[in-house]
Amino acid sequence: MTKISDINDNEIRVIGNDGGDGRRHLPWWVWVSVGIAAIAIALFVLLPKQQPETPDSQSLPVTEQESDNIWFSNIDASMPSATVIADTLIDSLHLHIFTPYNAIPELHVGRLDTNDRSIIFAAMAADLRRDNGKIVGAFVLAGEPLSWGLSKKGYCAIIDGQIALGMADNSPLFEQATEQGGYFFRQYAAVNGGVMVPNNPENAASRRAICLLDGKVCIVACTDRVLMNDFSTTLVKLGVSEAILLVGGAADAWCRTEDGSIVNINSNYTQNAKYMNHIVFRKQ
Amino acid sequence: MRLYNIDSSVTLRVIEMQEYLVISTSVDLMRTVAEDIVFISSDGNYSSFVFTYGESRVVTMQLGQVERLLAEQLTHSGVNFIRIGKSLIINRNFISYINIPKQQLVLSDGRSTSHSLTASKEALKQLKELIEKEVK
Repeated sequence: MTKISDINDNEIRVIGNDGGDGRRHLPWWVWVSVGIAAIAIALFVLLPKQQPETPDSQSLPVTEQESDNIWFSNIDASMPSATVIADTLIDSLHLHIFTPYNAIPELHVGRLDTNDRSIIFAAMAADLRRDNGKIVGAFVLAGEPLSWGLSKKGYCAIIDGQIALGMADNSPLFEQATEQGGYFFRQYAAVNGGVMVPNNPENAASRRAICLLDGKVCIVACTDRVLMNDFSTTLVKLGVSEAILLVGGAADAWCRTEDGSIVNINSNYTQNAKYMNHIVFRKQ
Repeated sequence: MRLYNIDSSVTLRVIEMQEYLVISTSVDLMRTVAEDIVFISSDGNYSSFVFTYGESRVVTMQLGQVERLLAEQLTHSGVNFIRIGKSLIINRNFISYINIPKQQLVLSDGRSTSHSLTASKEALKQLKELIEKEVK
């Protein structure tokens, strides 16, 4: 398919219009971009490589790093597996930051047992189709692809216990997850490279997203009803560098804190679909 | 909760020598004469086609994907379709009235079909100028 650029509500575009004389006139910035790319390629080829190459952000899972961020300051490696909850207020929105620590992430398909004490965090991950209840977009469960296709550009991959978040039409992490017994699902990207990613849905709802915040994976939830784009903007203000939305609204989500008690982020969801799926963090 | 419905196996087929738009999914197929399409509106991941004969049909496809199919399948009549903002594609043959202050766009065949739509003032201004330029 040919690529069609985005359009905003104040623009119009004649479909199939190639400029009238059959020749496509490229705008000046395309030529500038081509020039810059050519110079960059020439420099890359001609200059000796003195430093190691930066790893491809799509090909390597994110590794959690030590963090000095205030949200994680009360977590240390010796603590037993649990979820730490921190609250904050940004732009009048109440944000809850859930950080499962000393935990192994995975995806789960089917009903979850809330009495399973090995689970310290769970939230619905990929959307389901309204017509047949199947998973929307590519989905891999323990190396087994259950669904294919690009529905939303955001992705979350879990390979060897490491989580990678990103945004791409095609991610090699889907194949990698398949080959290495990993997990993969698609959702709306909210933040990519520290930049807010605009999305279409315009309804207000409670939102949640799995995020990379100061090098650590956490889940940020807003129980206020908020527009998706406003939530994404707030995540950027929080300092999130990557964020993939999880199923929001009335979708099921809960966690287990250090004292063993369950905190329901939302427990009103009663659908019992075959492909209902969660991202789950289990005790190590 | 709103769950979105995307069929990844959407394919396109071109019927040669005829200006038909064909949208095929794993379970259904829509084939329509392009000139029967009055407008297509977006509803998230769905697109709603409204036809001259009074019927409408929803397909599981984003408006951008529909725009690509129109551009690719319609060799001649593709230029009759105009994307207006993020959520509307219209058939210019049915433009009968534009009111910029009221943000009103009426599509009509002068007989049985008439639809009043809303678009941004800036988009309608550009549409008005486009139509005016073609008349001159």
